[in-house]
Amino acid sequence: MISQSKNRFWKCSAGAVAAVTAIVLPVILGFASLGTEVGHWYFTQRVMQGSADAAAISATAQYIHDVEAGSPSTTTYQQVGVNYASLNGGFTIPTSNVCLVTSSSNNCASVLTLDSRAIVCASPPCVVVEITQNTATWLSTKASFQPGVGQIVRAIPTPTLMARAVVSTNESTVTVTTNGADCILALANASNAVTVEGGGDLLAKCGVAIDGGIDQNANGTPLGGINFAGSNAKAEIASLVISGNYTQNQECLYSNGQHCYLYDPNKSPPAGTGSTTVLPASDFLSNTATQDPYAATVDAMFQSGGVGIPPLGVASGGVTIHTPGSRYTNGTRIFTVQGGNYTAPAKIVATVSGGTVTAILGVYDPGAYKTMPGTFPAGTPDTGGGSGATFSFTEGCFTWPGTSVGGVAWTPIAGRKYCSIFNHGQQTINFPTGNYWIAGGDSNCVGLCQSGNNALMTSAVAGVTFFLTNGEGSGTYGTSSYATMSIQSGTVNLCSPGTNCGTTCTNSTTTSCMLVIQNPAAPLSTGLKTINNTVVGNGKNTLAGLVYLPKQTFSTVGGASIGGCFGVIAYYVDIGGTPTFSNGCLPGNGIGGGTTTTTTFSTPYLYQ
Amino acid sequence: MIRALRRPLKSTEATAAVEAAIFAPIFVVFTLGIADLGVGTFVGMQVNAAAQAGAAYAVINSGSSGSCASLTATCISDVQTAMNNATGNSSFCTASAQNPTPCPVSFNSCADPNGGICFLVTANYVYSPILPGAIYSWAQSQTYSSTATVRIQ
Repeated sequence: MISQSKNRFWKCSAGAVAAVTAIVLPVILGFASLGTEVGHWYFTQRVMQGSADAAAISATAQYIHDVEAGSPSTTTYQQVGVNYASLNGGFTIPTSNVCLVTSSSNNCASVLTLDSRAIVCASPPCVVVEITQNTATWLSTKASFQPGVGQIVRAIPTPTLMARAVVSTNESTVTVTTNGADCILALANASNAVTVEGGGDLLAKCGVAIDGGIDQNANGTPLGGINFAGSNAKAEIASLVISGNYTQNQECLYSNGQHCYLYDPNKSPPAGTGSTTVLPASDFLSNTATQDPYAATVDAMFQSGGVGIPPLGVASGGVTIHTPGSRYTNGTRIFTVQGGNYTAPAKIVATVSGGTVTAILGVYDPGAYKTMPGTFPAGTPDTGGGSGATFSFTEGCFTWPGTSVGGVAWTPIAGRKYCSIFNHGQQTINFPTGNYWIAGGDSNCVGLCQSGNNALMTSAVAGVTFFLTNGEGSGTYGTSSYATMSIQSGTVNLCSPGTNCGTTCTNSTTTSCMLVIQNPAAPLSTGLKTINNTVVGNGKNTLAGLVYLPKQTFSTVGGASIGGCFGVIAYYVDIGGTPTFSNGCLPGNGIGGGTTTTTTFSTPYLYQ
Repeated sequence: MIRALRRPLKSTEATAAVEAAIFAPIFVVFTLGIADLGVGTFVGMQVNAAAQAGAAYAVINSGSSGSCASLTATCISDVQTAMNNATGNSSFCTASAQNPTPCPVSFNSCADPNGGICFLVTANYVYSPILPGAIYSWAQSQTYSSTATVRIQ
């Protein structure tokens, strides 16, 4: 019976199409389903890539904007990338899918976790955007099926779709150096930071800048300005740049008269009787900062090992005889001290009698030491034989001896630490080229001084630099005493290195164009008239180079004029004479100049 | 009479033809539907590619010396040429029944809160399926559209 039924089943042709359809339909539907879904993946992949490209380009635009605005470390570009991935295709990605590759680092760890393909960025910086889609979560993929071996249908694969865009932009740095146009900079946060008094005429073939309250006093309200304290006071200058919020009338009117004029080489003294052209509004700037361009350089000078730190030397009066020795040539001898680590050894003037050293007449040269000689060093006489003399030394500053030491003619020696340098009287001092450190002052003078109508200070054409710094020890002229400059009368004709006493300066060494440098640790002038550094009298002075007094007042009084290519940076500037300033001799880029580094980018381009 | 009427129902002759007549339309509709879906996807990809190609051209040439430093007629023309090239259809951005608003390009402030200047390039294309809408209501004539929004500043 069963056999008969089987035969009928296989012989019957009814419903054949239905049977074939039942077998073939799942196969056809399966392949159709797979093909359709794979097409869906490719389409989505294409949209994802376009979205990633647009997001990466847009994020790069934000990155360029941030760098050019001086904020290269901000991560706003990531949010922009996220936003534009959403705008172009509606893809939602986390901010970690937008990353930056620079020449030194990248923040693409999350991107590489999602997509292990190497990020190709041969020309950093590059912005990378990664978009992924997990098809396992798609309803269309879940609903699709494919023919199966051993089963009618089975689920289709669920790949993770990935699209990455790498956008590069060539970064280039352009450094532009500009020279400043100013030669006077006052740093005090005061409306009278520059004051012109009485009949004073501030003559400047350059600009005047006052920065009080911005760079140098950043915590205060900017008040820096110029003040005229005399109906005849005037300024003939190229420009006026102040930090205070004052109008030109507030600054330049005094007794309802105009006091700011434009420097005119044909009319301003000494060529003429004075400029009559009012300083144009275009040459007046308020609310404007002017950095002290030398602050960092000078600070470094007075740090350990800096050129502003004076060498060690033998203190005047600090020499005693330890062993008189024998067989020396009688008379006044100059002994050169042995030992120590020096650039120049000390020399002492002593009396030799009976072949032995019997008295110390003075220190002829304090020497310039890094390490002083050991205990009781020997001395070698300038002439004749003898031996055995040893001395005891005390380190300290060298008292200015004037014209002789112990009856031996003396002239200034560069490269030494002096207590003071003074010219009280009728003499002429000519300074050989080099550095002169003045440490704390002494009873003769607290710094660099001159008095006497016929007194004259000159320097070698190769130039000199005076460092005004503090003394040693706890006395009146000790560590809390800082040298100042006080030219009360007579004439000074001094040139800094690089000027050749001319109208320009070649900046080639640390001290080029620097005539007077005061230690920035010096006590602060609390007002216009406190702790003055002065040029007084009726002398016709010539100064070539920068006078740098960042904590104190620079003052000219009386009929004293100052010519030459002269510039000043001081806390206050008090003008009572007719000094002439020029920016021809300032170091480096001058006041108001500087170096600006600008980063520019090429048009972003897709790299990967 | 009744017996005459019952005879065709009991007959097993031409059963394959009858069954084929029933299933063939289903297969035809199914097959053409799949084809429509595929062609529609292709058109969608073309539209997407056109928008992206146009935006890419605009970005690349947005530098100060580029033709798209600002939105000039030359820039628009060049962008549309790039879109034509991307689709392989030299008249893709020419007004037609399939493209009534051909390839608009704009250059505006970005809507994004972070600001900037954006290029917006749009591609449109009207696709009419093989099957009439009465059969596949969801596959009636429809407009594929894609907009690429790219910030350049």
